[in-house]
Amino acid sequence: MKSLREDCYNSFFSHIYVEQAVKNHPRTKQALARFQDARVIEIGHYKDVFCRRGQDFLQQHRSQKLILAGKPGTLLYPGAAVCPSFGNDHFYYTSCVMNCIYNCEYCYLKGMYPSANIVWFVNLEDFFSETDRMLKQHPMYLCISYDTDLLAMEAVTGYVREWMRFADSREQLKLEIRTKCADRSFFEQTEPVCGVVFAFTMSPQRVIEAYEHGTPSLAQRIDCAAEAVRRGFSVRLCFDPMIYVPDWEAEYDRMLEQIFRKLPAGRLSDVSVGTFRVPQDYLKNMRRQEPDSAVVQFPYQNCGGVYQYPADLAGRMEGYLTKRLAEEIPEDKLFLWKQEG
Amino acid sequence: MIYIFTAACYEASAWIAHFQLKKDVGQTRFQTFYSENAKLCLTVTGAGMISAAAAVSSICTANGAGKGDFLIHAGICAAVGAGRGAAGELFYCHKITELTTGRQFYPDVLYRHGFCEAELVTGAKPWDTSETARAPVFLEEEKPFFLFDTEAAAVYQAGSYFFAPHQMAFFKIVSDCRETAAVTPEQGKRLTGLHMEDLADYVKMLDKAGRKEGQGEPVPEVLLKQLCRDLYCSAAMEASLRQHIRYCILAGIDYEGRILKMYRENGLPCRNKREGKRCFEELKRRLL
Ligand code: SF4
Repeated sequence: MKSLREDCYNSFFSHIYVEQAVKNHPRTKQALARFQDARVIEIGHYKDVFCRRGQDFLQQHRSQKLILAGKPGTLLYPGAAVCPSFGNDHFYYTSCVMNCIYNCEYCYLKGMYPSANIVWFVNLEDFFSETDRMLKQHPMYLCISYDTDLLAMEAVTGYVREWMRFADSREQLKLEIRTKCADRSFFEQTEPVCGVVFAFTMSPQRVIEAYEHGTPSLAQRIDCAAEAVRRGFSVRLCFDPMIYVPDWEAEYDRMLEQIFRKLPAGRLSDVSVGTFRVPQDYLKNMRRQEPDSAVVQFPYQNCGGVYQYPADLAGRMEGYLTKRLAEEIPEDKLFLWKQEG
Repeated sequence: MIYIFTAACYEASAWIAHFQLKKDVGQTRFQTFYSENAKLCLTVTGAGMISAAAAVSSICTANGAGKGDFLIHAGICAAVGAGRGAAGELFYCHKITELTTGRQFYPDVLYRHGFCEAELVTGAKPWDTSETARAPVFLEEEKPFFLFDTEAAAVYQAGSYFFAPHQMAFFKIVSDCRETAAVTPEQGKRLTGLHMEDLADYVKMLDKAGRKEGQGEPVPEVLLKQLCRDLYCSAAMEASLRQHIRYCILAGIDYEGRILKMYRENGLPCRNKREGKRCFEELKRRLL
């Protein structure tokens, strides 16, 4: 029997919405050439589509559309309190793509954005200019893959390579590219750049199967990270968010064993640990969007506007993992997220 | 439920015949037809934006339309511009522009269909090349081809109080006179009838999709109320317990067994609020 997906839903990027202002932009043309079968719908402003009232994130995710737009105004933002800065003073993030092709149930994007459609801002040069302006004032630690998985979109946008080229000549700039993607070919075909760190999110296979829909398996992520390390890329492992599942100790043990069998701990740039946390307003939206998701409906505790696991559980989970990691990784390379204040 | 709205009776007749819809005699404001089996409700709104919006809001309010439901607007339209839109051609509308305000609306196109797609413009009166073409929306943009009607933008706006953008679909059939929507009832019936099989297939597919939309497992209210009474819960404590039970249901945790054990071991119901607070904390721990 055919699944509903096969029967009912349009394919990924079956429709592309294009802002009038960017319809002649070279990247717009590149996107339209790549998705030749897509129906093109002209729009005035990306928010006319992206910010419509009452959109259903989960339903839209089954047939994501692409929105090509230009982003005016502020392009770089100070890093959020719920995100780790890895000891960097000038911590910023930017979103040249909004939304993700993966579908992690716990993803805060479901609470932050009104739509599951993917917005690709084609004016990357403006992002570069603003970064240069800021670099004149101080060095920067810039995360470019927070509100998307930029590496997973590389075949479409090519933005990771463009950012790497940009960073190559800017010593004061440190880039973090967070990903669950396991595209080994990217690392085989790209030269590492100093100051660019690839942060692979690692989760136990059971968590991946239950909650990280559409993402590569743990084994694939490990293989890809190992390939990156072998080729001289700077690699960070993120055990963040840690997700509670029954028998979590055993699950996380199994995961670590699998990782360090293939990945030389000594060659990792650093490692971060943090249990799941999300701003209260986002969780409220996520719960409305995902009434059937155990990870979203978990009775988190509100701690200063941030929902997180009850303190004793979070402490046990983080303590357990950091202790296990400390057997492999020097302490100064281990970062544990802590709420400020 | 699938709610179908047409402006005129002749646009409704093919639907009524195909799904063997029965007239709802209880409805006095708008002519409404329904089928319990097919879970369909068809309403004839009358022509124009005010009638369309009034009908959508009235019927959807009365029936509690929402998650898992769909709205279909179907009818005859004019086709403006060269190259496309032969008389009788059916279009799925992926963009609707309200002529008077220039506002644009985008129904999501999540579900697969085999129809041609086009933009639709809704005006306050039927298409008239000499007058309407002077409106600002057309001066600003060059539109090589578009459809024109007098209801869809209003249906979308009224419908969006009840439906998400993926729950609304707009179908338009080009009239025999092509550049005006003026048709005789016979022509209207015939044109709608031409596409009824395809439209019916689409409706069936929507029905299937609607049944898959998650509603969330209900929390057993009787058990929760009893528990809250026995633990002297405040409103905040009740909300917290509700969330714990909801999680347990989704995670497959035997919450009933754990609650019963708690009753046995802690001698519930509690005697006062202080004891209730202590048991409440312990129960939360036990449930996770
Ligand atoms: S990979 Fe990251 S950005 Fe993408 S859905 Fe998962 S958590 Fe969200």
